[in-house]
Amino acid sequence: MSIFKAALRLAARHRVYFLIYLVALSLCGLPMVLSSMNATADVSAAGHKEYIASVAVIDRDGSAISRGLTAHVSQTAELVEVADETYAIQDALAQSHVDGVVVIPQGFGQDLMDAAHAGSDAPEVQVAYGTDMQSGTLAMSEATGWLSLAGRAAALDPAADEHEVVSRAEEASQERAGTRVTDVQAAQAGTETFTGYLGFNLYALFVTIVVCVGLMMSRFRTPEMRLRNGASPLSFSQVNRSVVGAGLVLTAIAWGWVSALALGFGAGALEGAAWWQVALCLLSLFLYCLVPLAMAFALSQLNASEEMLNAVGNILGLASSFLSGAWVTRELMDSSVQALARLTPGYWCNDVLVSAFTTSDWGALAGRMATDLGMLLLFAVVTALVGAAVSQARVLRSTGSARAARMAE
Amino acid sequence: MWTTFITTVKSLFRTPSVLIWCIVFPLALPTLFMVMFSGLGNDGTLDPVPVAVIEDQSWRDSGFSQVIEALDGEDGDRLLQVTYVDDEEAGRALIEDGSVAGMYTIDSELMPVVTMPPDNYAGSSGMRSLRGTILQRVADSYLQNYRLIESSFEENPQVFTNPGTISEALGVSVGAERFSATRSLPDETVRYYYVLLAMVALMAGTQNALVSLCWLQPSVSVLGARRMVAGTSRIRQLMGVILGSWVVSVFCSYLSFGYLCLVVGIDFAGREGLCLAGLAVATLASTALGALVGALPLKGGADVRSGALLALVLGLCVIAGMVGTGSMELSDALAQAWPPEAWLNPARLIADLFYSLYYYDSLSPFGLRLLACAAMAGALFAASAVFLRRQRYEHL
Repeated sequence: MSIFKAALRLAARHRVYFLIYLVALSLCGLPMVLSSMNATADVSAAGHKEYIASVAVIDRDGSAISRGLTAHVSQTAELVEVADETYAIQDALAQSHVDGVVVIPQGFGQDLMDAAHAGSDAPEVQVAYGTDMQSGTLAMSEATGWLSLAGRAAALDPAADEHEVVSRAEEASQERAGTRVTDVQAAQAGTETFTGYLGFNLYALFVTIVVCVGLMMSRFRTPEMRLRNGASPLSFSQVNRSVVGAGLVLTAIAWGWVSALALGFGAGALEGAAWWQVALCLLSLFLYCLVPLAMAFALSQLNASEEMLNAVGNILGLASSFLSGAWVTRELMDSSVQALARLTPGYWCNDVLVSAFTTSDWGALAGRMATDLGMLLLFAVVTALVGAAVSQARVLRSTGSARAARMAE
Repeated sequence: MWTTFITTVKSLFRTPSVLIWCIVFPLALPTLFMVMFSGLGNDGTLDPVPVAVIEDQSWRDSGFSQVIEALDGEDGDRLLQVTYVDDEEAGRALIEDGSVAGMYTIDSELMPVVTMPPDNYAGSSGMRSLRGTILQRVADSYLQNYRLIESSFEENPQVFTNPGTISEALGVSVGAERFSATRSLPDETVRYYYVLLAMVALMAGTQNALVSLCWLQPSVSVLGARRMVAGTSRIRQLMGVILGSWVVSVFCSYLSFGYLCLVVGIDFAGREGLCLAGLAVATLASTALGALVGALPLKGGADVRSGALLALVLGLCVIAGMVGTGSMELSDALAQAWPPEAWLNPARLIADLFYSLYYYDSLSPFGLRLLACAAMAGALFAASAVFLRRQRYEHL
């Protein structure tokens, strides 16, 4: 017990890492997750919310058709006013104020009417996209789709003037195709706040546990400490059990802190969720925490320095978190990167977070959850075994050296 | 002063924490980004929206099938990527496993119906919403043209005595000529790398200045106490330390910049020279920040200050958009809600230095941010000078 207490006291001396990596980073994540989740909070569990593209229309024509387009865009998309200057357009696109800019050239309205009557090629508008091509394309299609309707209205009724053409195009554009939303089980509305926050903290937990537990365990590997502990009545296995126990307590504290914040700030989002769904997420996070704990143990067996623990914790923690899909959605990753991600514990933990709320039918989830949790446990066990093997190899080597020294004497 | 400068440079390069945080970490992180973004199209072409289509008799009879075939073309403007399935069950299976964003079916009136998953079905709700809306707009457009022709026929049936009228009308299609409004093609991934570069400049500048300043202060390190009794004046030592740590920081930042340019292949819009100048000034500002934290009369040694600075830098980078899409959205939301944040958060300010070179033809946005960095450096150096001047070492 005294070793256990000493280990905790040793860890408390490096509490600055706990404060920086865990407390500060987990608090940083609160506004981030809450703000990003607010954007989708109004999506019901079984609904589809139309994406509203933001469009700037630069009207250099001033005709009834170009004004009609501006009026149409203001109804179907978010119309953003941008001055007809290079800098203003660049600024709107660079700052992501708009998804796309549509420039209607001078004389466009008359050219469109003439082309429609003559059956020749219609004039073109100029478009520029922002950083997201798909939302830019949507913005552009809002404009060109309506202009094409106006041109077709003019072709169908050659006697109609621009105002009549605009009126018919506007009338036709009210039509909407039928939509159905599949009855696949959706994530319960708002639970993303909870799972998103847990996913954000994968890095914080990884680096905190590797550095704090690794530092504490490394101190017990110093020659002075080993000599002192060797002279005590406790066996090596008792000492090791106490040190590992202290590491487990530190891991539980880190996990408990993040879980408490997630439950505290995501409590409102969890209404309607089954208790076992929440428990499953927290269990996967705990099993994930066992991986850095095992890594801290393995690194301490290698007598890793403070800098080494920091470097390994940060680099592996970031790699695991990025590839997990919790920070950047997996849909944006190449298939080869997704395959690579399976080699990181974050992937399996995030898979539980992503799928836990997709269905309330435990039976449908059991197989997938068992695989995910089993993989997390496997990562922890394999890493710990590597550490134990390293430790054993060092013991054998030092015993061999001692024997050789005795024989030489 | 020059001896102090050379000693500072040598000592910093021999410090393991400096090597890890200023050289190893900045090279490891872009490598990770490079792997992660390898599948993200950044060549200015559109990623087509995957959609399932039930290829039954209704589909073949409907005119909508021709529209979809045209949009599933092979050229660079391909909007849809169609997967033909035999029945609705197969289409639903594709939706559920995330292979497609939705499914088109044809109803009894030969009109298209869009089927899609809920927005918050596993994955990114924003992307689902966008893709679903694109599929919906394609079907809407077909229906709107159909209604236009129908209403024209009701109003003036004589127009349709000429059988070519409808095909001629449908042939009127307003195209879009794409122009590049910005200096370089918009690419969502470069912003992550620019924040990363900002993190390198901040990490290198703050850590190096802090460590070397702690070596100078008698109340923080034993080395500082020894140096205090040296014959060299305090201001000369301080100048040498600041200059030395800045040079090392600039070297580390340039190393990371070279890696981004040559290995990762990040586009800096052909303005690499200006980027280097910007990086030098940015590093000066971060050196000043490190110097200020090093000069503050805080309890605790270099480790505590270094840890606090590390947390500060990481926190600033998180709200500048470094860690994923959520972080980037927060950064944009913050800048829109309170614009001064983009000028006061050094991570965002430095990232915007490169961003303004990438997007704007004019150099004035870059110049303004460069001036802001220089002003920040001046203010922080002045503040650190005040703290250093007022320190007394009674116990010496």
